[in-house]
Amino acid sequence: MSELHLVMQDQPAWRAMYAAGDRFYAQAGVLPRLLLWLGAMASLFATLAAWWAAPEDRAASR
Amino acid sequence: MWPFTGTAPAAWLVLYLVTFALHVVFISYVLAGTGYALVQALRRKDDPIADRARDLLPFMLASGSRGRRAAAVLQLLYQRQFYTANLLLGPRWGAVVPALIVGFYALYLAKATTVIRWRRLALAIALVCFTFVAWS
Repeated sequence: MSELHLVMQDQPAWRAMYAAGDRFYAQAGVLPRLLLWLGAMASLFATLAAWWAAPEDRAASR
Repeated sequence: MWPFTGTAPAAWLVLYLVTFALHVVFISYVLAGTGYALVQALRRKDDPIADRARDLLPFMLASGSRGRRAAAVLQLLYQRQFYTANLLLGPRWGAVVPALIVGFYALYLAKATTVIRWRRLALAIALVCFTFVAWS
């Protein structure tokens, strides 16, 4: 949902996008935003997975 | 005091934050868990955490679809922006739902199959689908 949020915020670009028939926002802000989310997701997954895992499972996963 | 002023927009904002926070927890597990299970399948490593993640992924995705509720509240809060962005992105935005369905079934296949090649393929397809949704 990265690109949708950026399109929502970039009101001045709406007319140009519509006129050009673009289906891709393709601005530089999309990638760092996506990378930030993916990093946060990995951290959150690691926290939950380690929390739910038994100590021997944690050792076996190394 | 903001955002607990009792007015309708503030109530929607609180509801949005709660539903979005829930969505982030579940969907983070799905996207990162799919990537982790795929890496461990590629390494042919016997990993109990990856096994558990693979078992939980379809359930987590189903729970993570609470994002629909967050999106429903979002369209109430920012109607003009939300609908305009949806229309501008058009078919690509519409492709999110089929991508989620394909990813959902791929997770079930990865959970059910004992053939490592099928498991890798299913996890790779699911990862592509969920990354597409995150990007869109």
